[in-house]
Order: sequence, then C-alpha cells, then structure tokens
Amino acid sequence: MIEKIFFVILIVFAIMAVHTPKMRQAVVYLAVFSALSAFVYVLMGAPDAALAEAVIGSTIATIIYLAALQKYKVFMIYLLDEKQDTHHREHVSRRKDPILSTIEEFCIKRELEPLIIYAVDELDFIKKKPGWDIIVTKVKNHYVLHGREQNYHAMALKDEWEKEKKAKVSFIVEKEHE
Amino acid sequence: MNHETHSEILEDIMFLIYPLILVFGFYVILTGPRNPGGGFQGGAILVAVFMSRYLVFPISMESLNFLKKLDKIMLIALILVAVVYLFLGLHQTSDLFKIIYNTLMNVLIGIKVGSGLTVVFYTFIDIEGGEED
Repeated sequence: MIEKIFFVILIVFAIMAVHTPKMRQAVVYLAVFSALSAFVYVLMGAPDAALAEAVIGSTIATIIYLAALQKYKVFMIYLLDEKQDTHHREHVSRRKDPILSTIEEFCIKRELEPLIIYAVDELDFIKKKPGWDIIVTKVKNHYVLHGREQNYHAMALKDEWEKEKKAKVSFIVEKEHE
Repeated sequence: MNHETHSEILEDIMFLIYPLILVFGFYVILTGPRNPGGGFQGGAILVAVFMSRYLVFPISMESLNFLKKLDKIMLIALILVAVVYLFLGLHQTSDLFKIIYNTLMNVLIGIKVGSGLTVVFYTFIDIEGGEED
C-alpha cells in the first residue's frame, strides 16, 4: 500500500519537473524524485540499487545540473534600494515586486535563467561589478532600469517595454567608456 | 561566480562534513562484499567530497593530473589482480583469499570510480571556463 502512495508521489514530482518553467526548480524536483525512488527501491527489496540511486541521482546528477546551469545563460538582475540599511532586513517583503514578475516572464520566454539579487549598495558600486545585466532602482513607484548597450538581452527587454508602452518605467542605456 | 568571496558558513560546514563523507564512503566500499553497497557506490560517495569542495571554492583543481594517473593505474591494477588471482589458482585454495580478493577489488573499484568521476566533473567544469571576467 505504501509503495503505491510513493508511486503516485513520484509521478507528481516527474510531472512537476517537466512542467516548471524555471530550470533550477526542475533540478530540485528531479533530486526529490531520485531520493523518493531510492526509498521505493528499499521498499521493494533492492537496497543496492537504492544506494546507487540515492548517491548518483540526488547528489552527483544534481550538482552536475547546477554546475551546468551556472554555465547556462544567467540573467543577473540587481534590485537596488539605496535608502535602506543593510542591518534591517524587515523591508525585504515576501511579495515580489510587480516589475520582477514581468522581467521573469521575459526571461522564461527567451530561455534565460533569472537570478535576482537584492542589494543596498550604491548604484555606481554595482555598476563596477562584472556580470550584471539589468539594474533596477525604484524611486517612489517609478522604476528606472539600467542596461548596457552591448547586452542584447537587455536591449531586447527595452524594446519590448517600449513596444508595449508600460507606464512608470524608464530605461537608461549605459555606453561603454574605454 | 566570484572567486574571492565565499561563504564562511559553507566553509565551516564543509570541514565538518568532509570526514563524515570520507568515513561513510570507505565504510560502503569495505563492507561492499557483505552489505548493500560496494566499490561503485562508495566511490561515488567519495566524489561528493570533491564536488562539495567545488561548491565552496569554485576553482579548478591543481591535482587533477594526479587523479588522471590514479585512474589509469587503478584500471591496470584491477586487471592485474584479477589475472593473478585466476591464473595462480588462488580461488581454489581457501576462503581467506576469497575475502581478501573481494575486498581488494572493491577498494580498487572505489578508488577508480572516485578519481574517474572527479576527473569527469572537473573537466566538465573547465570546458568554456573563465567566462566570468
């Protein structure tokens, strides 16, 4: 009986892994799937296969997938809040900013992996860091997006925004000074 | 990933977990002939040591060439041990030799799988590496 329950849970996790739009979540679902299937192997009297499944499926394969995702195109979004103090974390609300869900939709459409970083540093400090794609600053319900000219994903995001004419967002394009 | 900054929490936890993973891996290898487990599973557990090292310090390893050589040496040793065991007729002598042979083969397979998978993992990491800057 308990095996059948776990079979159903396995199928649920497999479907979730296939249908989630974000890669990172799919990897986590697959790891859970592997761990559960190892448990099912134990229930069915195959501890040897269970040990191999647990080690390879939920450890090695997961780490390799995560390392591959690190190489995969990651779209790094900094969300700045310059006014806030680093030591007071209460202001980081659990709910997402509405702008972030729009950017995430854009990322999923272009098969990018969104990585959102909440920062309290100054804008110029972040700009000197390598690897950022978009910096979002918020001034009284008005969003300002900074993107680099040579970053064609950021430019595509800007084009999409201008086409759809969404309000309260302005776009600043950084030019390379060298 | 940034090279200079790494989490201190991860680092401390790693030094706590390192010996546990090592002991568990060798336990699975050495009790392989009698209990569930064996050389392959134990070797795969030992790989987790190097993989967790990558999660904390995302840099490539210097001793990768040593592991490559170890992998090849273990392959040759595996074949040699099996050939010597069969052709000297040790399997007909006593049970003691069987136990020693089983354990030795498990250890060799464990080290080979551990070094081989580590080489595969770090080679995979190094391909298209250095795109951070």
